[in-house]
Amino acid sequence: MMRAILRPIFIRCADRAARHFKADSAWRRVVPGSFAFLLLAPGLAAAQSPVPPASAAPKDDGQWTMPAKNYAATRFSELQQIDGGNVGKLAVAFTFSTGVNKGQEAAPLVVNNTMFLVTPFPNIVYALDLTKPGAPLKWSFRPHPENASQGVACCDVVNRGAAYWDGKIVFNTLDGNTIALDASSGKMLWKRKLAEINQGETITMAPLVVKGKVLVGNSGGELGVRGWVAALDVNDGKVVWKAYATGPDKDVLIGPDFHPFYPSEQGKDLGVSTWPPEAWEIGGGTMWGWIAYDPDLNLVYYGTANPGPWNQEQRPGDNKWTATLFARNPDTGAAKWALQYNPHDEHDYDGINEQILVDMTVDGKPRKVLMHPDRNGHLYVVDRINGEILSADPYGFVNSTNGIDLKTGRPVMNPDKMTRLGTVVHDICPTASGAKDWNPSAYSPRTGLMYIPHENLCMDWESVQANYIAGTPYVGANVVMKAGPGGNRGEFTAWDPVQKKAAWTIKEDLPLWSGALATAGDLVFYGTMDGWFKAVDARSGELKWQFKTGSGIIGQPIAYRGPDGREYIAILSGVGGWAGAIVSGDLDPRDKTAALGFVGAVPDLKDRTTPGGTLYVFALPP
Amino acid sequence: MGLALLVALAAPLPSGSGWAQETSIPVTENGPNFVATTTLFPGGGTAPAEDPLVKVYQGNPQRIAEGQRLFAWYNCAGCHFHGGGGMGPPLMDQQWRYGGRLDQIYASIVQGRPNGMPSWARKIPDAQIWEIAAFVKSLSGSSAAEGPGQAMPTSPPPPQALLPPPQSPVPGLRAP
Repeated sequence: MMRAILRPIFIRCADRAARHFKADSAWRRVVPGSFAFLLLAPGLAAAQSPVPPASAAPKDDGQWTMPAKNYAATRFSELQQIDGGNVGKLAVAFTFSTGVNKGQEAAPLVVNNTMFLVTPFPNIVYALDLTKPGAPLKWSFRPHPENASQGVACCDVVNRGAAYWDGKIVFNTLDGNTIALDASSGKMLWKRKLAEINQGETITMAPLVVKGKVLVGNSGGELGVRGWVAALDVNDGKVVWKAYATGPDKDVLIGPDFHPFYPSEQGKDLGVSTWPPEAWEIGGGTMWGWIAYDPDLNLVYYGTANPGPWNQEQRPGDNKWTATLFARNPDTGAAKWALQYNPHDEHDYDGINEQILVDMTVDGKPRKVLMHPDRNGHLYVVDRINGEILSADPYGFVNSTNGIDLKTGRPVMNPDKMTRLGTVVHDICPTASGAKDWNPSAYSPRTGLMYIPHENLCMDWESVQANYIAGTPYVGANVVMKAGPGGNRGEFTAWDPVQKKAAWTIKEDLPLWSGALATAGDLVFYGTMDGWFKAVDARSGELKWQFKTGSGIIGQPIAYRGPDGREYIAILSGVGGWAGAIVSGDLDPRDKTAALGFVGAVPDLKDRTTPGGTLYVFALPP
Repeated sequence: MGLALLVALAAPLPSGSGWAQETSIPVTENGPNFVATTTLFPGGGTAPAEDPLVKVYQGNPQRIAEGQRLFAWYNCAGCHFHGGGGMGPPLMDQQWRYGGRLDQIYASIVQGRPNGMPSWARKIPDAQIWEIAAFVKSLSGSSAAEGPGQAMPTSPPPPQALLPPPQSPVPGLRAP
């Protein structure tokens, strides 16, 4: 547990001797008056300390240009002004009301001393001028998405953020458009309609821009849509390629370059043959979560969402390529390999959670891997060159499976927790929302720990027949969620990917639906659904500071360097999302099945918090 | 499915004024266009008279039971669940965005409402919409002790597979 603290300290000259420490900027600090760097080098554990690839996690410039911070998705800031010794003095620098009291899942962006926010529906974009006192509004943009889109958004009307690229702010609207704005003026450059709400499609994810291509995926896995990821030219919004998650290989962009690791992913047109006839057309596999990118391998990584309907008896077969991790060439979309986390998923275990890219030693050999905490409760370490699972260990309480078979890559299903038509199966863990849902983890190369904000919930599940009516829910399950073992509904776990176990865990009463931020001040930030914004010691988990915001927190904290040189921490407060829909949607707690069963897990949330939508930015006193 | 849909769409509709004629319920001059969704009438005044069909459906156990089945069949439950709400608002509480009178509920289903309620006109037969509305009305004010959510999922309703399908398929519906 204390391995990181016990690392010896070496002094090294300021030459290139430390080049093998890729992304080494996190490891060094300039010693005043000398040319020496102070290196926090891992002693015996040196060869085993996972480090993000430098090409995907370049030296921190103090900005925050994409929700995950960098292509490696570390959500790690090299700023270290705020640390465990002074964080107790952290205070509000300024606030800003978004004017939208729905779930605030977005990460703020900071570029060129301007902060950019995207609100939930109606997806207003705000630009705040950080060079002036109080960060006044620079411009705002209202895309006016269709009101009706609110009726096909499964889990509140959230938006997970924008992306910055070459003077442009790119974001998605709930009614299925991708829009690029001039970052300096807020003027619209282009708008591309990608999704059709009358077919149940929406867009809630934050786009990722790779090599001038905007990567966007659809939402609607609970409405019988067919999932896809598209690449748009960032200059005009034209679709360069579009890869479906189901259907024939030509639609999935599976071709001669496709070399999956496991036999069950090999074969022709598996996106058709692993379904009943035509079921793949409405089978889900959306992509509303996170994409990572390895510039060295020129591959993007993302996972697809659950198959539909939830009633698994209506779709016998593996249901490829739902709940599947893809590696694709970002230039063409061509799939390099695929790994189906949950073949024939029967618990709504989407594969859309984040992938954090690190290079680490496994069994004595250097491997390029990605770390993915899946909804099924397992922390996957996957070789990102070939798609082989190197390890998969439970980071929360799991009884729906009896582990992951590393020979086949498939979960070993627990027959007692498999879902059936007309039968209530009790106490399946984790829930449909997973041991962890979309809310992203952070990784600190200083501690070697991955910080996972997640849930500790179980559920009762009864499958029922689902009727497909285009543009309406296609679920087929009555679900009631509840607290997992121990009664605490949330957990914040610091995961050691080398030891393959938790270094420490913080129990939280409410489910955690906020992302995490790690900093070089060896602090980790996250928020709770009743509005506490917390800083904990990155090595021990000790609570160092907390602040009560106006509403529950389900957003993504960020850190940036302000124009005055100070370090700032920003978070949006405003409860909602699937977990907080009871508050943001004013649902009735007497119906425990409400909101796909999440209301059953948080019937008390209305007594703990109220809707909101406020940005909070913190700094140390000047 | 595509073929089946084409056949369904190509089938001649009954002549006359459409879906309502398929039922035994007489067409009235009331209907959704005559229902107010507000209680604000400048200078005073009252809401239009209640649709006479309200008396046929409200509190009618058979109609409500059929409405409950249709509520699931047409995926209303996918948004409103067992009255607690989700994508759509709760129906078991006392708040009505567009009016809680039975003919107002009927009108909301027929016309749709701007923040996400689809329009079901010409997609669900008129009499069935009245039955669904009657069920929705019955949810309102349910006490915690008798709320339908309490019965789920530990004592599920009869499997839908055992029940006859509705008479008029929705365009695009794929029965399991």
